[in-house]
Amino acid sequence: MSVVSNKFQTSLGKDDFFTADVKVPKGIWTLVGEYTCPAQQEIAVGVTEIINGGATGMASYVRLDDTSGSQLKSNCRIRIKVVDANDQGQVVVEFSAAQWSASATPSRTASLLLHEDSRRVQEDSKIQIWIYATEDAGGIDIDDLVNDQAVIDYSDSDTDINLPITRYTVTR
Amino acid sequence: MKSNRAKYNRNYGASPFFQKTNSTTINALQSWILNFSDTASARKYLPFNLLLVTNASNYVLRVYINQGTRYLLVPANSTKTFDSTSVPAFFSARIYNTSSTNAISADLISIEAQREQYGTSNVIDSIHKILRGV
Repeated sequence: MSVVSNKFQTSLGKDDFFTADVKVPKGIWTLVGEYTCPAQQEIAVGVTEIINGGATGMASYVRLDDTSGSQLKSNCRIRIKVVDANDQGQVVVEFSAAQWSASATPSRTASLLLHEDSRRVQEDSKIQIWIYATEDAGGIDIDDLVNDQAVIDYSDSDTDINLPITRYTVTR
Repeated sequence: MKSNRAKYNRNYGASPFFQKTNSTTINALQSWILNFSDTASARKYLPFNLLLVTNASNYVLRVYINQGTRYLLVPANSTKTFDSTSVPAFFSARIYNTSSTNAISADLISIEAQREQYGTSNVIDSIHKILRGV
């Protein structure tokens, strides 16, 4: 039986998910990166805030640029999954176009607002980002399923992720 | 009236084998990604827990399970079987050609996967999964 001792709101950035370039082939769901829940914590994707008396989600931001500087656009799709340590249980908690925000930064009016999801990741379980890239997506020329893949450019300063999460510290 | 229903139950019996082979060349130090989640007929049996990897090439392969960081090595010109002790749940893989100079030709790598018949351990796994969530 776990007891929640504290709850706070924070976010995951691109460094939490990947620290090097990621190759993305055409037309297949590909793992971009994953974040493993630390010991004695539980994490829910999304944050629910009360603003002006109404419950609303926190703004999220995902932008993935390839090595030619082109942004993966709306004809690519992204899934946020919560997965247990051995991959036996997988739940998609968010499914959206790859272009999450019409603005350059997380914006309450232009970004996807993520409410706190009811399913919490427990220690050693993972939050994963998956992408399905299609041909000619936003200037990406993906001709070959194997060798001529789009490369998500980690070092490109435009490539950025801001995934709001609600983190619980627990004692067991 | 005695039931003549077949003993086989597609929900709990072993699934058919599903196979994927590399349809194109895998260049040196490059990867081939395969995903059984994209195969409609296989999707209802996922996750698989029995994996047969045939490597007819002259180069060692790394099989990254579910495209993660853990990988299984498959030596050149060999066939390896992995069961649920080493692959508890298998949806997809990244097959990495470890040769720094040579490509692997098409149709030299085969992945066959199956969900094994339900036994005591599978049932406990399933119940446990329902109870614990993720």
